Amino acid sequence: MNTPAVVGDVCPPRRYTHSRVQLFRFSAVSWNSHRIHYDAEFAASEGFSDVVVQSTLHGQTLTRYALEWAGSDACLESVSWRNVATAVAGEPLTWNATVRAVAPCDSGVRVTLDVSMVRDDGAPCVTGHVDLTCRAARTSP
Amino acid sequence: MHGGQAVRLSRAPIAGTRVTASRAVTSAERKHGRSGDFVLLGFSTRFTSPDGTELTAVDETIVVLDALTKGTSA
Repeated sequence: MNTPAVVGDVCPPRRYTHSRVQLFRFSAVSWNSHRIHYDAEFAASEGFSDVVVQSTLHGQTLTRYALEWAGSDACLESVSWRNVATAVAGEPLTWNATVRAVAPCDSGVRVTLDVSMVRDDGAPCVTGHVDLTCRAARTSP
Repeated sequence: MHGGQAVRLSRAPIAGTRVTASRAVTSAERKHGRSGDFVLLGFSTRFTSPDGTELTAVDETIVVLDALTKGTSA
């Protein structure tokens, strides 16, 4: 974000895909032993086309792209999301965000983003919000 | 499976701080959806410093598909 955020601004979308190895590693570091996240055969027996992206990885990705958009002066205040549909390894996903609110706060400007993860067919997997604080020097007019 | 989550970072913990995590079930509701009956559990976790100051708050929902026995409707 090189200019002050304005309500209604649409952030550049981020397109990405989670690999099986990435999901395995995320399960390991988050102590998530559910087999649908690292055992493709088991995931298939549960009706999934591949290993399933962890909800908490969705949350981490929502946050990471929001912080990358906001720049190095931004701090995360809160993040919330709702899982609407399942995403699996190898599936192309797109991070979308729109500035919902901009308000001054003690440490600068607080920016709230409406965020979502969307499949190629346009169906959302995850919807949520990210609240960031940006230092005034970068975001004030 | 995970229904959703909200994480609030209230205050940054400082190295050496003893952190206490308190976890509680805040709700349990029977629901009916496209895949049938299920139970929606709400959990709240609070991470606090020794003086009781909240550092981080996490609220989450868990969908339990196998919680209801046959013949039990939501």
